[in-house]
Amino acid sequence: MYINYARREITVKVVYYGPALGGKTTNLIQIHDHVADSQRSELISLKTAEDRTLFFDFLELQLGKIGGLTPRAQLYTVPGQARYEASRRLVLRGADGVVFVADSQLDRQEENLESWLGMRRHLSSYGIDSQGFPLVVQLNKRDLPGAVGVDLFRSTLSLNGDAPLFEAVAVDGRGVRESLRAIMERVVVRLRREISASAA
Amino acid sequence: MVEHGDVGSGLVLSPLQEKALEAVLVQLAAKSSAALALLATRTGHYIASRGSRRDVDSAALASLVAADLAASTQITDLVDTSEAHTMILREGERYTMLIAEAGASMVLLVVASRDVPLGWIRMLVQGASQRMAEITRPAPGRHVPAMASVLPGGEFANLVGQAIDDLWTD
Repeated sequence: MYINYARREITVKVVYYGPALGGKTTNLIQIHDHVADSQRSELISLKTAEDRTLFFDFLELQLGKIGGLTPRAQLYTVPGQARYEASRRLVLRGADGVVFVADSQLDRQEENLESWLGMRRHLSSYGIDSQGFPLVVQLNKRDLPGAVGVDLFRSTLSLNGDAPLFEAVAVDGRGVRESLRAIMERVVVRLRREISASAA
Repeated sequence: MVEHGDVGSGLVLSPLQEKALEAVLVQLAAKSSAALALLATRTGHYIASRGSRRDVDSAALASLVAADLAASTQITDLVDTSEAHTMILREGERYTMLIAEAGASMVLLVVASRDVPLGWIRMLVQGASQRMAEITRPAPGRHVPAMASVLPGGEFANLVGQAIDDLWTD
């Protein structure tokens, strides 16, 4: 979070986290494609020669004037491949909220769990308890045959009711806006709560 | 390793601090004949920039500069040469680029012509980054406006959600 009082700007950072090939970059591509040029930055991607995320993707959204403030959302993805663990932790630094993008395919549930636990470990390394942290889960690739059931997915990750879950087909844009909206609302609610606590 | 405050907390600049930082940035850009002098938070939020090259995507640049410093710092940690006051140098054919920590919360990028002596730029960047760190260092009696006076009340989260919907085009 960055607040500039003089310009009445508030900028928050949201990270799309999840296993390799789960659809994190696809989320940002869809957001980029559905938002007018004037209200977003270019999509920056640090990729390998094989077109896989090496460090992160980045996109900034300008939400216009709201209540006299100019909020901005900076969206990042992490690299999903196992060997980029250190990079994932770096990208999480300073995050105000996380969208966890999981893969619906039955044979990817172990990767979902490993990534989920890794995320919680990294948040913990920054002194954050993921229980109170703004978090949205997106269960992607719902169009694939044999997609895992939502209940099974929830139990695999031991998800309680706190983190909202959105079913998505990110490649078609389904569930992308809803996930973004949900995480932004949660980030703002938490900011408000922190602000109230600091003012008390 | 726990780094308290890295996630979910950030930099809050008062108008006075912003003015002071911009003054340092203006002076740095002028003295170094910088094509670009850019200040960002360590988490990649753009703060301000000066110089003749202002036609860049500042938001994207800020994120990359912060990432560059974060990666470099991680590299030094891994090879056990971690030191304070990190500075990264990139020498191109036409431009010299320096990325430096500016205190615990900020990172400074300076892009200058190769015609400008490297030692001179390095000295200017070191001085500027130290002054910037001092400006943002928490100190007793330093007034930071109450955050509650900035963020609107109850409906703000809904309005932000609505703004996301409004951004969306089919």
